[in-house]
Amino acid sequence: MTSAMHHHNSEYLNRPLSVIDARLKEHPGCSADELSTHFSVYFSSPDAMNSIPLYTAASSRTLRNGALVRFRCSVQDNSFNPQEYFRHVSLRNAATGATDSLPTVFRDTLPEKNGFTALEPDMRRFTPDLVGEKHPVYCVAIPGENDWVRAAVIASRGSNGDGDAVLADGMAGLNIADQQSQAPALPAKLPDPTSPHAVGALVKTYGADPSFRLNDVIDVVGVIERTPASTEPAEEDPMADVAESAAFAAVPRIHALFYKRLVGPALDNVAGVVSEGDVNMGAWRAEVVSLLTQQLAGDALAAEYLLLHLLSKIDHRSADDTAIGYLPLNISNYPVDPAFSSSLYTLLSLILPRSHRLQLTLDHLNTRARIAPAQATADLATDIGLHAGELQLAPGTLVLIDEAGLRDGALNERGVRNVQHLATAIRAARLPCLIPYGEISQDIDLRFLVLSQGKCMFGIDCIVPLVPAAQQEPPPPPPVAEVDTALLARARALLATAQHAPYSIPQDMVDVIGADYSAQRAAAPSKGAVDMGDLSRRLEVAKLLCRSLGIRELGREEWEWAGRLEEERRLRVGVKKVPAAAATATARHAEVAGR
Amino acid sequence: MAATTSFFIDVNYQTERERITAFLEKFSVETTEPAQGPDTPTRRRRKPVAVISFPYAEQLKEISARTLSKLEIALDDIAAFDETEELVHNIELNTKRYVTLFYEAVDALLPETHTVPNDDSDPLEVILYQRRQHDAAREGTNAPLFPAMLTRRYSVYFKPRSSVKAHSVREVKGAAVGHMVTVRGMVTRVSDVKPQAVVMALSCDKCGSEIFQEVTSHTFTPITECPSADCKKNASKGKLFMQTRASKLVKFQEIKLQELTDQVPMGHIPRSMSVHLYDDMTRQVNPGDVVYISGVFLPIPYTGFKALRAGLITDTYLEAHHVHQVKKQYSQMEATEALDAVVDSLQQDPHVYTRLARSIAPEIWGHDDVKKALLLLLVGGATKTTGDGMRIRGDLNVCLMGDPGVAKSQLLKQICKISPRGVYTTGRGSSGVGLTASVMKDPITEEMVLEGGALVLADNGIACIDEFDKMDENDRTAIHEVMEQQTISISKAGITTTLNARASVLAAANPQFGRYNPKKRVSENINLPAALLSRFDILFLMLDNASVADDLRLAQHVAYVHMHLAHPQLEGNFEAVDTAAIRRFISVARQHEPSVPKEVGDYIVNAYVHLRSRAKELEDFQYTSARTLLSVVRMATALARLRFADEVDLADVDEALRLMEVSKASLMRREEGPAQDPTSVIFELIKAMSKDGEGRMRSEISIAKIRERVIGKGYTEDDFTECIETYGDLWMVAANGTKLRWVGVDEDYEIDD
Repeated sequence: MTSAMHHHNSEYLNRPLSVIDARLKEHPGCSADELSTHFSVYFSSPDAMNSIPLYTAASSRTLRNGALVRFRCSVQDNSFNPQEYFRHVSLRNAATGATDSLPTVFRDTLPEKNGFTALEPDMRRFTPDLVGEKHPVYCVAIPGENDWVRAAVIASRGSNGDGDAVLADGMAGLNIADQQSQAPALPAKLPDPTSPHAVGALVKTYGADPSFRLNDVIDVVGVIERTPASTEPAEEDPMADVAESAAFAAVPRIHALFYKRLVGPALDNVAGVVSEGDVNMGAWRAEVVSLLTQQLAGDALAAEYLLLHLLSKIDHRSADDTAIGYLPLNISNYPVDPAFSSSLYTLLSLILPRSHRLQLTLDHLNTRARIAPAQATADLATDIGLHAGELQLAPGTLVLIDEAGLRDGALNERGVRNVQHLATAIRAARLPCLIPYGEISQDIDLRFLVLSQGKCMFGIDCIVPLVPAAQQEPPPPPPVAEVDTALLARARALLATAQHAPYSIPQDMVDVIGADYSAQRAAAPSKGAVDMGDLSRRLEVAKLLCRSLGIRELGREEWEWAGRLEEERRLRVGVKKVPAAAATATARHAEVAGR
Repeated sequence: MAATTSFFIDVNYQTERERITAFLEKFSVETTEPAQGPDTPTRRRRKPVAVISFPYAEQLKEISARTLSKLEIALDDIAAFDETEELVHNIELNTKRYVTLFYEAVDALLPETHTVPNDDSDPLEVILYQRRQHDAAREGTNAPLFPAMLTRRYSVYFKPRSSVKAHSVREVKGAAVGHMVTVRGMVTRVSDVKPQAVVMALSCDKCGSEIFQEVTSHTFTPITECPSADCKKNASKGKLFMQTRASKLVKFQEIKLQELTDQVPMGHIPRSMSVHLYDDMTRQVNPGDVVYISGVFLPIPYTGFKALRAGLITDTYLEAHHVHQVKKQYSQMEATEALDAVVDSLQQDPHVYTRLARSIAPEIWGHDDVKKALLLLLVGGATKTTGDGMRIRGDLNVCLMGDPGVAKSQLLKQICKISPRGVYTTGRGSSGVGLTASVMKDPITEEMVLEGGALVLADNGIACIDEFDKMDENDRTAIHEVMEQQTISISKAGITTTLNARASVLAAANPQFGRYNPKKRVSENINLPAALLSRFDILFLMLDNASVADDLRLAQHVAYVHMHLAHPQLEGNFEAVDTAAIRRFISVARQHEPSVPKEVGDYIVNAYVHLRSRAKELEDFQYTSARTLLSVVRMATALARLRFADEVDLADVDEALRLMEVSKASLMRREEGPAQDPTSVIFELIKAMSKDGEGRMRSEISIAKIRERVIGKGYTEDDFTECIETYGDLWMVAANGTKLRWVGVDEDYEIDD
């Protein structure tokens, strides 16, 4: 890289606004979209992209005002109205009478210019093309993102773009970092305020409304701007017109130059998706199942179901609101000892890109938790829009709920609401969202794994009672720290690859499925007969089996396998009378599970 | 943008003002009623001919007489007056400017008042009068004129054109700034009504002259130094004091309008917008109201320090011109031409009845007759008020009973969606209070207020109650009144009143034992008291039976959905009518009040007598009563409404009777269906053996005899034992295992089977 080029680069990184101003001077009619394109082309190579410093909880205080930053985040609140802004603001020097016009795109405040004051726009000469629109959304660092993913993102940046060097030079910025305490700003807007990585920013996009949906994950590159804390007294009139609540003054804004939505594989690609043909998926799968088996007291069936659960994702929501591909899992008969669930969670957080452990304790539910996001009805001066809900997580996040933490006691009103919302979220894959005069719900795609001693308190159909391999009290699981890193990498790759693999059911299998089902129905007594739910679940299991094996089309073999898995699971649950054939093979399990 | 702004270019405001003046003076409408009251001498002779009136010219007269303060200009009228529609367009795109033009035009048309003020006069009148006299006395002074705003005693509002489309909050974008827009939403917050200064009157303590300062923005700085000629000349720097009584203050209220949940796209949160209401517009809405508000969408530029902090963002608000409250009822639904075209074509369709019925929850396969009944429920029968004021309900009540997982709840939710006033609730989720009404203490005013429950909210709509059987006995009694009298009587906390609950009830219930047990009698399976059951016009049993053909079909459907992640094409390429069209069709149908002609009446009576005579065989679960007769009439009138007819014909009655029959058959089939499994066959056999020649039940029967017959029929000993065990609660084995004794059958007791 030549020094001229390097200088150029540092100009883009350190003073993107002056690059914008220069371009506007050259091409006065240049729109925000054209400026966005200019920047996205400039940073089109992965290397250039990696040179942009990341906005994280750690760097949020040190990044210099006005610099270019990259923020991998999830949309927490999209309830804000678009903001109108005048594309240019006129200044006049009271002493000399000189006037100046400044562009206002990609910024909320203007640098002070000695002796100049801003002129009020002349509303009589108003035409709509004088104003542009910016669309604010409140974003938070991807909640529940695991350390290994974060490390991988940072590692990919390599030696490019040293964040500290960026800090050193540049024009006088308003650095208010020193005044701030270490606590994150607006904790009510963070789904998990206790996480050390939680950080938020007001992201503003320019041009057409991007229509970000709640909990969308986006990778934003933009200009960071901190506004000085307001020295004005609080507005007396609670209904006073404020385009933006004063509560946001402490939060940096990021004026998005360009962004990318991360969906599907793009959200998980840090794990390195592999081609199914290149590797032995079956062998990898066996390794992962055995890894999970160790954590599940040697129960291979539970491990099998856990693997399938980790691959599940909602493929489609049908018109009658059933989510196809949704497979929440309840492992019952789970040891009470918290060491077990902690160890399992540690392992899962090492192989999954995002996970969250929901504390199911009375204290948490009654006093701290807010499961569903809520729009507060309180006064406007402190209005911060949508309060974050703990389940405002990015799609595909594993939510581990351990019922063992619950003790006898009373739930207060808040606790009851939290449990209700959690139950709704798990049952319908929809997160309630509390708004004044009503309630709406958002589609969510989370993997709910509930560990419980008995039948769990949430309506989960797929229950696997744990049957420890040894008859006596299961020994504590082996420490996760000893797991081979290469094995972990393979597990990550398997999960990332398999969950998005294509899948189809050939027509002849449809006939087999139909015939199987009606035969089962005809054979079974009316009580406890297989119903549509059972059929759907078996189809689900078969699909996930195929995906985990790298098979793209359902075959008779996998269908049978899925049937055997379901048969064994149902047997453990004890719903069904034992048909003679299956009984012998699993009689031992049935005894242990016995209920 | 260029297309919309083109109207601004080359607009000569002088000619525009002339057009406005012409409109105000010359716009006329033809009315057939006399425009003035009967006591006016000139109008004493009633003439049937059309009368031409000048609505705006007349309103101006009232304004000048101070009896009217609000001049509402309907844009429909302007469009009718000016055929090029240019003026209307200009108004809609640059509303604020045209409000001013209208003020100027109206000011010029109004005569100046020169009456001497009396004691009742407004202080401003007095000041104006004195000022004029003062000026007249001092020839040659060129004291500044009064600001026009101060002398105006009216305000101009525009009423949007009726054809205008209502937007949601998020659809109002920056491009609409300055335009007249109509927004639909729910009022979530209402501020107090406060005075806002429009013109401040200030008087000088040195020279005594009054200064009027016009306030055009939300904030202003009062002038402090007297600008009058006297003070300037003497350099006395007179101090100015505010004269509240002479200032012009208008009522001001700010409200927040929030998007309705149906306007919010998936994955989004409702947005809200502030709306400013002035003067006559204030106090028109309350929190919770669903309204259409039309007004000018305006930005508020920031000034001063704020400009530095967030000056590059402007807030926006809607300055209200017209508020329209929404009542969600069929009769008040807007119709669009497209919808009416669909309705017309539907009406031509001879199979409209079947087609509409199938369009209810098209993804739920089958259940055609249930859907037909639900369609009739949506349409409703004709309500009749008898001579003595008694009201006979026209709303149909339907009960769906069936096994879990037969899509009952989905049908309920669909109906709730189609009905403009549908309330969905579950018997468990709402106590009697939640269903009917409760007395609550208002947290702010501390007054006792009556809060309507689900059934009150569903007045003139449909109350869908799921899990009807899970409801407490106490709560169910509250339903009795609603279902027949359609009122709710409250006597709580000193409040005694009767609320209207003219709702159809659509209930879904599970059988007594969770699943329908075919081995039990119908009445045992249905877990509802007869008094409640009789209030349902029609009751359907929806069972989850194992049948090879259906199972195969269902499995393939499920597999298809899993494979293609979409629902398969509906059978025979059936094209479902969309919800909006169904709703529109029903609203048109409901405008008809069909009557029953004599011969049809006779036919119904005959049919009823026939039903009564057959009543015995059905008495198990539902006996035929006068209510049945009314149900038939209700369904028949609903069917006539579907034909857009004003008279019920025989075919309607036949279809109503058929539906009745089908609903009963769905119950009867359970009883009479061919028993195939050995246990049932043996049971039937024992039952038959227990009867003597006259159909009387014997209380005891010899087991040895039965066994002989059973083995003779080819069944095994095991089958027999199982049957005895299965029906263990119906009989007991007596006399050392040699006899079977029926439980509850006395020697001379007769049970009918």
